[in-house]
Amino acid sequence: MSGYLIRRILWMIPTIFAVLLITFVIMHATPGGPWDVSPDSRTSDPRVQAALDKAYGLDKPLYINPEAAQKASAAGKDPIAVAQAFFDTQFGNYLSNLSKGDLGPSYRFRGRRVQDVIAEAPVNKPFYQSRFGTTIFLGVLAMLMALVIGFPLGLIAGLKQNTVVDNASLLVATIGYGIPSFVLGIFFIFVFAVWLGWINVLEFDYWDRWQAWMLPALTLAIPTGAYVARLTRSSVIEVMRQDYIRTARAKGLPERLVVFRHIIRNSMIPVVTFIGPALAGLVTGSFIIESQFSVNGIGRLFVESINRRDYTMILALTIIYAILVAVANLVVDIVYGFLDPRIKVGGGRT
Amino acid sequence: MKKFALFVILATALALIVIACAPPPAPTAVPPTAAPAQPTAAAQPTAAPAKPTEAPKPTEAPKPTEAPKPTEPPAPAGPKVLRIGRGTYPDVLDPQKSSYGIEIEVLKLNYEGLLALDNKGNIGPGAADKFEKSTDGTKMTFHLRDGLKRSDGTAMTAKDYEYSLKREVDPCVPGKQYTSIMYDVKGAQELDDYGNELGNDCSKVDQKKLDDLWAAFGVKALDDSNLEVTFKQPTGFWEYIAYTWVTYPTDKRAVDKDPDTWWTKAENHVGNGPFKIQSLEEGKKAVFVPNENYWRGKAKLDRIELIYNTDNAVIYEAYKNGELDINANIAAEQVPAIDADAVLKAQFVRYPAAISIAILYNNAKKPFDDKNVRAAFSAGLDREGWIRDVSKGNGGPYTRWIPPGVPGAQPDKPGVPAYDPAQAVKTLVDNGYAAADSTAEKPKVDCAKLGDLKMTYGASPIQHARYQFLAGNFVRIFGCPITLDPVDATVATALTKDIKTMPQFTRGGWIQDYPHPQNWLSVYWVCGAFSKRYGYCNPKLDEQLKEADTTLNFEEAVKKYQAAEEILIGDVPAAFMNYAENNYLVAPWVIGPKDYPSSSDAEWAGEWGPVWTYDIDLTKVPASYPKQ
Repeated sequence: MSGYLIRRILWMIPTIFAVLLITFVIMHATPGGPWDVSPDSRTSDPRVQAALDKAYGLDKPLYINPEAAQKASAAGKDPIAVAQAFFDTQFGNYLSNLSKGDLGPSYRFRGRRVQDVIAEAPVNKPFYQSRFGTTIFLGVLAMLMALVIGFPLGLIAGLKQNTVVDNASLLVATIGYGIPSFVLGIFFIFVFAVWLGWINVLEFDYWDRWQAWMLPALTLAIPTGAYVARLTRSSVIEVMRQDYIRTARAKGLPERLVVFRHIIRNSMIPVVTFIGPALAGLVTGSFIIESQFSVNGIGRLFVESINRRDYTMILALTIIYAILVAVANLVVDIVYGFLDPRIKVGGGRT
Repeated sequence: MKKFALFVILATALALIVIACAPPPAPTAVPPTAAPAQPTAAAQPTAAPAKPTEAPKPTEAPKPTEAPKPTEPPAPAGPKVLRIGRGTYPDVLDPQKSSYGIEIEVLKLNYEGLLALDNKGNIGPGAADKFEKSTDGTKMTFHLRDGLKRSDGTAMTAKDYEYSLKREVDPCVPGKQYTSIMYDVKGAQELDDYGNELGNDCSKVDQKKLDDLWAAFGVKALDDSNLEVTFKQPTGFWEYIAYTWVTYPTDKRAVDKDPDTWWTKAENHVGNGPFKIQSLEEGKKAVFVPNENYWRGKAKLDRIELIYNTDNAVIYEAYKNGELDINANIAAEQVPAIDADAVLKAQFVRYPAAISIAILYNNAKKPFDDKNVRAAFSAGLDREGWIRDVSKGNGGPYTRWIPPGVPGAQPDKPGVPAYDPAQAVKTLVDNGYAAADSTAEKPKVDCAKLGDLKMTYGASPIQHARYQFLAGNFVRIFGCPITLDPVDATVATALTKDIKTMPQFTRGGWIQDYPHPQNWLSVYWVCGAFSKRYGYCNPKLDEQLKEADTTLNFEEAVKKYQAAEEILIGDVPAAFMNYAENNYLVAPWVIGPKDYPSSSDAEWAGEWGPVWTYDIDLTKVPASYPKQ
């Protein structure tokens, strides 16, 4: 098991490098740069933009720099210095910084390092209140809510297949899945803040008032919860048709025990498979929710960074998401073993 | 045991959702028991009876003050807080690095430049109580007022401004976006060029060269009270640059301690403006309190809060819910809803903005390298229809470049050809684009002669609507097909930066840096400036502008700029289309902002007015108004 874990973790390194390279290539293949602001905004002088390119190393070649290498070689520099000059490029310098734990300068928040923007908490606040911590917390909370909403709904629908309960559950799940988050978000704001006056439209004190999390988390959770409900329903229906369920019933096991001991446990496997990527999706897909509910997280930062061509920020957040997906999948694989002893991870004994 | 655990998790999570729907224990903006008013109702203080049956409608649900009468209880002695709903949180809050309006609005509350601008675009005293120009116009001396202090009480001298102006061109300071604004100052461009050469990395600096460049730089504190600025040539407009954000006196003590990120912390912004930054909550809020050491005296408001949310639908609801006093994030599509609501309409403030919009042609590419085609498309542009159907009444049709409200603007004079479909077709037909079957009675354009027409733009729902209108408009007039080419917004901007990639024609515009015709004409249209992107260059215009820029008498200079604008209009380098409009919702209890509208108000109502005089009528505020 531990060998398997180490292998999986080591495999993450080439995976993340590949993600990094692909992102870098696509990012730079797309026209535009960090200083290309919207035509509706104040535009800075082209000469100043050239200076900014130079200051941030954006004037360097992307992948290789044979010209610099030739110069270094002609100047009689040693082979290491020539190699360094060859890779004195935007990608080379990024990797070099990354190897030192530096995610580079943000082009948008000029003067700040990317890791500071992502992980620095407000003054005198703990780390978990950083943008990173905020988004992770929101994503996990939304995932919990999605499971709480979706699993029981799907379970009941599956157990009561083709009844009014099942149809009602299908209707609720379809509506939940079909309504876009931004519509759901503003709807909740309208109902709970404007009509009922239970909360403020503009909530800010997320870390001081835990209730503030509920609307953004619920908005984020509903489409995922709806999907979980549908997935659970199909899984329950499939499990109920299995021989071992028939056997359990035939040997006189009470229905309660059949459901809890056999049906729930076995129907959870597809749901658990879904949770891994879904959790990463909840974290990455929180852009609109973070914008609507004034949550200062990395979901919003990600989309804004793409629009603003904040290259280093895009790369950093892509790496974070790649790691999140990889870790979530690893955890799911491990959980399989607990849910179904027939599934073995890493070929070892379970 | 596992089943029990599952039950506990499910039950806990369900309980969380249920509790989430309960009222918060101590909301700040919702009154505990005060008055019978609902927060939504109390938010609307002006009288306009709402129909109860139509309550669910967003614009009609909140009842005006008539019903709850927030004025009935004794006037609260609470704080006077101006809460302004904004969009995007600023990226950089460093006076010498910032450039966006959303950044400048924060800085200008906290700092004051050498001079100040009023809402009418007039330059007045700021940190300097007076200034003199040398008779040849190559020097300006600013006299700093006596007893000038920063918000922490430390005395300020001319050295503080010298430091800021030097920092703006310092080759060792990276990330500056507006250095070119200083290029009229002697030695500024040379310093900036050297910084460019170094990549702003002074680890490889040639110290002697740098010292020589600094010695030649035209900004010098003569003593504690006087700052001298020397220009490359006679300069008639620099007082307008002396008020801008690049001159704001950044606190050297903070920069020395943390050169790159000092500006992220509120306590480092020890400025000299009417307010001081109390807190900066990234992505959420910027809070200001009065600067007790401000030379004009302490501001009347106890607090200004800039509250950020990029979703203008949320800001709109927050304003209606009484959580904001000014909505400064209104989308064009919200305007019809506001107009349809009597209460909101009464609070709606709109006036021209110093923003000019045009259809920008690629003057170097067929068919728009032909002035007649440019003129024809200008005459074919239905500006009224644009304002009515696309802008939803925002702004006004305009055929000139300098927008109303800016010195030198001549809104009553004709500009580039105005909308005249018959004349548009005739211009093409008479100038070599007539179809074989074109007749005097029925003129017809030969589309093949015009070639393929393509409009490239940054894709978004609002942009699609805009360009569908524009393409439809021209197709209707000329009968020639136009391809719509939506691309990513940043890509679209990048394409317009280089004449080689500049689209045939696209929509663009200019937001002023300072209300002076020099900023509208010399900065934009001289050969090699922004005009280079559109393939436009007219040496005659350059000559006229140079003369205007070096004219010291303001009135005379304005006349010369007006003559320059005529040259520009004669060339029809773009189809000038409309000026934009500032749109804000201002609550009735807010005193001041509505009285000081300015075309420079890019961010919120009254931004460029006397903010230190703004006030809140506490007798009119709703029950949900902040108590502390």
